[in-house]
Amino acid sequence: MAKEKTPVNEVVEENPYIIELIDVCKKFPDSDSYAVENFNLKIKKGEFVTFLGPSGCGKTTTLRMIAGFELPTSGIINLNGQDISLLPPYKRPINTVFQRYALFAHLNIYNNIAFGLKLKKIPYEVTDKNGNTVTKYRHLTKAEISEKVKNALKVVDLEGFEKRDISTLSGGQQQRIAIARAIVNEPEILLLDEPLGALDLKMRKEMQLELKEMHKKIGITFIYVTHDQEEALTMSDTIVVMNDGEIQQVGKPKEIYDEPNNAFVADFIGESNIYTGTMAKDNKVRFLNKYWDADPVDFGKFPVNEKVDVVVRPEDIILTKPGAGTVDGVISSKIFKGMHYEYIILVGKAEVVVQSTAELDEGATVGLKVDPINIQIMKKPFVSNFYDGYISRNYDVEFAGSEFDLDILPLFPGAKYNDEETLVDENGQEIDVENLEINVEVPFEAITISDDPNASDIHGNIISLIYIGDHYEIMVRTEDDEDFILTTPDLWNENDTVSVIIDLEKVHLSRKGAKK
Amino acid sequence: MSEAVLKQRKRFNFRGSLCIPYGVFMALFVIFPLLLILYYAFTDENGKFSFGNWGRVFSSPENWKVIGATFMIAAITTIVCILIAYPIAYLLSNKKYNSNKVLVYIFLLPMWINFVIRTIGLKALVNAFFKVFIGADLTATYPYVAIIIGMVYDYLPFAILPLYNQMLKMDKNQIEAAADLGANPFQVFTKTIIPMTIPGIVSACMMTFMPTMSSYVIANKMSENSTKIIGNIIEFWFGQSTSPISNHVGSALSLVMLMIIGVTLLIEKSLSGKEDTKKGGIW
Repeated sequence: MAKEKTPVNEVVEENPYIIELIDVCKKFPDSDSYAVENFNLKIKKGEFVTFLGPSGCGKTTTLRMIAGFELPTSGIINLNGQDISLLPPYKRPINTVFQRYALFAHLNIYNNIAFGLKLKKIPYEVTDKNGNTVTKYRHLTKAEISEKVKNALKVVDLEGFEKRDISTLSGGQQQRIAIARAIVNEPEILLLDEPLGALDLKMRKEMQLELKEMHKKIGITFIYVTHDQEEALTMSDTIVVMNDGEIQQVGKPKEIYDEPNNAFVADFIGESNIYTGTMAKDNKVRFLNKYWDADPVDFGKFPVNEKVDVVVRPEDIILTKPGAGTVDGVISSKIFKGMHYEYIILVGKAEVVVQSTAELDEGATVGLKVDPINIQIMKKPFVSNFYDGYISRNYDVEFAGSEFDLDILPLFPGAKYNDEETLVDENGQEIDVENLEINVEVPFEAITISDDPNASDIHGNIISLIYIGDHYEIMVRTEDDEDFILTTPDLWNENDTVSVIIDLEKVHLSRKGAKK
Repeated sequence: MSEAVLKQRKRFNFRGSLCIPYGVFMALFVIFPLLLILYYAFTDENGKFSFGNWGRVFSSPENWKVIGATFMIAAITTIVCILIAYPIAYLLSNKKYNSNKVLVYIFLLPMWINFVIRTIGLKALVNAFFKVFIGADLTATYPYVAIIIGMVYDYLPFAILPLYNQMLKMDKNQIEAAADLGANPFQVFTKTIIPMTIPGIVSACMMTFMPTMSSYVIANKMSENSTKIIGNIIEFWFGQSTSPISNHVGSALSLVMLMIIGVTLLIEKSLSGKEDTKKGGIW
């Protein structure tokens, strides 16, 4: 069967969204964690949407679910208001440009592009003997196919290449053919899975502009997947920033850049100075040991003394004479970047990256000033790790796949150990605590990591690393998929294998619910 | 000085010299026997040039019948082998069904047993099975069917392996691309999977066609010695015949078989297209 446009299209024209993903989750059978979790997104007709995120964030999986190569574990994918989540790929009016082109090596360029057209059947109306109009389906004629192929080649700027063999093309040309092969079918949505990843920088820049131009010209919805933030900012109408299978932020490129939702987005999009700050009175936020004027818009959102992430873009920091800014710092390095200088300025122990056209010497003391609207204040996702734990037979606490010698007495007011080392209540009755579920809170600062494998029994890999002013926020994931988030002044590398050491003094236990 | 070194290098090319054992081997065991066969085929018992052997081979209607039957058996065996091996290789190359490759070894396991014993065992099994349907030994009543069953059984692994190798190399993206462009599962199969596996199919054809043309032990066992294929006649002339020109007629027959295989290879090669031979399974 060829792909047919669902006839319902015309009826639900008032629905402005061409595709809606509702609570889409995907879990691969050989993995314990979700590749995509609670994905909710609506895309308007004709939009250029980019899924942006680091590798393994679930962006390609989401795209493959829209294309039909993967089926969602749960959730709904609506195309023009109709659920297509279980429809096989060949029945969806959606075409894909693959990362590695996936051109058919046994066919020449003409036949590659005509592949979809030859399979397609189009409706046409005939009047039968009784005078009724009947809709029948027919294949496209040779002339029609040849015309469409010619037009598609024109769109990708490769006219006259019909007879050539795929193997005679350069990477950039192959990519264009892959695009032509997809758009020639006039899909409702074009999916592009990191299509420019294999091209060199100059070629990539050219193709970015061309793709954008093409999108304007043919007017179909583009869903683009990339890990390159610059590419996303250049091309998209809407960017969907993803991490760890979840949407971090959806917005226009400018919104994402100027108003990042959280430290991850700020760190991933563009260069950022990220600090841990505290909300203070009178419209002020304290970071870098100083009180800064904050944007009144942000101020209402957070109570005083709340810990927040503060993001300042390097180009938003104004350098002044010493003492004239909010804080003074010493220039520790200076790099010429063509349009401007990039300075790293030390304020106490914290580093501030500043871009400025002014030329200053290393070692000079300067003042720093930021316009309040350029100080982005956002909610800290959390400052503690939370785990589900339970009490083991010998009154230890088990969580995150290991057993810890934690004092559980505070959980049971009035309880004590009797002579036989059994936990009893005030009346001397034994309390049955085995397998009792409890909440375990481990603050970031309670965790340290070491590269000595014997330092602890918990081992994991560093999966993410965000620089926050004077320290790093590091996420360590163990083999059992338990995450530990910690802060450290030391620089580690992603994928380092480390031992996780937990300072048990700082761990806080609480009982689940009000169970007695 | 450097010139002298260069000269010396030119004179003694170590890498090139590694070919010498191979060259000697080829000369001794391939080229020399071939020349010997050529010499025998075109000479009479006195060593004089003659076409007499060829006349003898082609004037006998029985020889024509045997050559025809041999070709048919080999062709049918090859086709049946491919038809059986193709889906098996496809399943084996799919990680979902064969994640640890154990299945591949299971399919190759019969090759560990001596093939004469294997064939005798198969004969007993086939006869026991068909007795229920035709009331007689299949090997005695339908010898050609029995021979083909034996050949297919013995040469199936040789068809599976090259196909399996080729399918491991298949570009899964192209399969997805075809589905994405509107091809239903059947069209995906005919338009991408088959074209991508043609080199494997050609290899598999050669790997089954060539040995089935020449092997006569399976034919002997499966037909209770009642049916001759070309290998039997060659064996007769070289082994049993006491005629003074036995080696000469046998050589001519060998060349006939060689030519049939050669022509078939050429046809297969031209079918598989130009660049495919490069990528081919084991050739």
